[in-house]
Amino acid sequence: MDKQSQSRLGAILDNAVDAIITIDERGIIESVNPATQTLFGYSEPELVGQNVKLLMPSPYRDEHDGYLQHYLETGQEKIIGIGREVCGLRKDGHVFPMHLAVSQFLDEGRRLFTGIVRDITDLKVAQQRLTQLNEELEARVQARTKELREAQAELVSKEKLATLGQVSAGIAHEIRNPLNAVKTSVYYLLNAEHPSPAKQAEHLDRIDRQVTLIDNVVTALSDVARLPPPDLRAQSIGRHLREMVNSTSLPSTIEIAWELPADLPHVKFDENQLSIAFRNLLRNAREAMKAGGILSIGGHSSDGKVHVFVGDTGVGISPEHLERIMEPLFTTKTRGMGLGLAITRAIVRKNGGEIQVVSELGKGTRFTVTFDAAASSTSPSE
Amino acid sequence: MKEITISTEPSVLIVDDDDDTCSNVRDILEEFGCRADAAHDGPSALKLVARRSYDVALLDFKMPGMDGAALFEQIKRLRPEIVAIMITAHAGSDGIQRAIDAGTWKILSKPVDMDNLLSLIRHATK
Repeated sequence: MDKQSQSRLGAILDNAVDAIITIDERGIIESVNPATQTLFGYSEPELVGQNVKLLMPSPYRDEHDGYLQHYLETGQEKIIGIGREVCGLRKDGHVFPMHLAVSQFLDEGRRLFTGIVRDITDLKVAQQRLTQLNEELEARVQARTKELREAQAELVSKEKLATLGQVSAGIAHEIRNPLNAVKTSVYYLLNAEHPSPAKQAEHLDRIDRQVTLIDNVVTALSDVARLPPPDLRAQSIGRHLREMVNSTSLPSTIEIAWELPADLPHVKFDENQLSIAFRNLLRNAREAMKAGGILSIGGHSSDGKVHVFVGDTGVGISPEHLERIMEPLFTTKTRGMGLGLAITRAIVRKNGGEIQVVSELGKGTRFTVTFDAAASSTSPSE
Repeated sequence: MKEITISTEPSVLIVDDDDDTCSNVRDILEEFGCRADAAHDGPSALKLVARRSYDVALLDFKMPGMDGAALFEQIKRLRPEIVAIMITAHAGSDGIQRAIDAGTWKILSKPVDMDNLLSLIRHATK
């Protein structure tokens, strides 16, 4: 190496930001650059000739001789050519994190090691701060999540209670009215001095009728509570609807217009469940036509779908009510819990169908129930 | 036979949208010496009130069209002397406050204790 190169190399070492330390095979410091003095707080004379252990805190200090010995004997590299994070010890006793890269070279037959040391205190502080921030953030996210979960649970519970309250109030109203009629009839029968046989029969009839009303309430509640998976069988929905209409008691002021074709394709449905749905639709139609009218019962099929409808020429439903009539607990009646149409829709959907309603105030209402036609099956005759 | 006798033959108007309830209460009141008329809704009750007065009006609170409180407001205009007893199946109803504000004398819940109702009628017509 010529003189110029050597002095350039010296300048590089002198001005390097990293501490550069050269030791021999025993660990004795041969040379240090100025950055080493700044970093560790020792002057060059204090370092040269000392074991490099001086710059290490325990336990590295005590293990260093062993490392060197092990490497010299086995050639197994733990740090040479790799670089790792270790700790340094300043003259003032301060321990700091540092990155150490070690390389070895031969100088006139002697093996020497060069260590390049960088102070990573700031990096470590930043890393720790970042970890701490992450932990804080995580803790805050968890706390907020917990709050949200609790708020949601409370909301659900409140909503359930509100619904329960609404349902109970509806049930109470629906049962107390017939109970009142039963109780007053019983009171009459117990207290009237000489009730005629006709009067007695009249009151017993009323008790029977009102008990049936209470039974209807209980039935409606059971319908909601227990809607098992439907027992789907391909059958004639037209015939089923016709049977339901025929078993519904209708006043003589209501006329039936039949528009049920005989050749409607079969569809799959649960007969018992659909009976509840049709019964509700027919009852609503009857109640909408207190002054009489026409009950139209019909159906048609198109594009693999079968539609049946129950229509009335009754009071009709206003547009704002029409949107809500199938919501549970919504009712426009003074008597009724608002479960009939909700149950009807639930049943139709559970059986794989859809229900639609059109209505006009003062003109009437029509409910249409639609199912897919059962595969390759047509009703032979109605 | 109960020891409830009403000597002055009080007149009572019964308004309830349930036919059976109307008939039952009328049968009982007549049995105990009252004169009773029944109506199934507000408008027909008002027609009766326009014709004659009553000592007591027994009004069902929840009825289609006009509820008991609204009906009593109109009855009072025609016959301010009529005493109202409101009967409700719905103890928690918001409308009860309107019934009280309208000057309802008593509010009873269904099913009605008839002994109590008869003694209230007797008391109102003393």
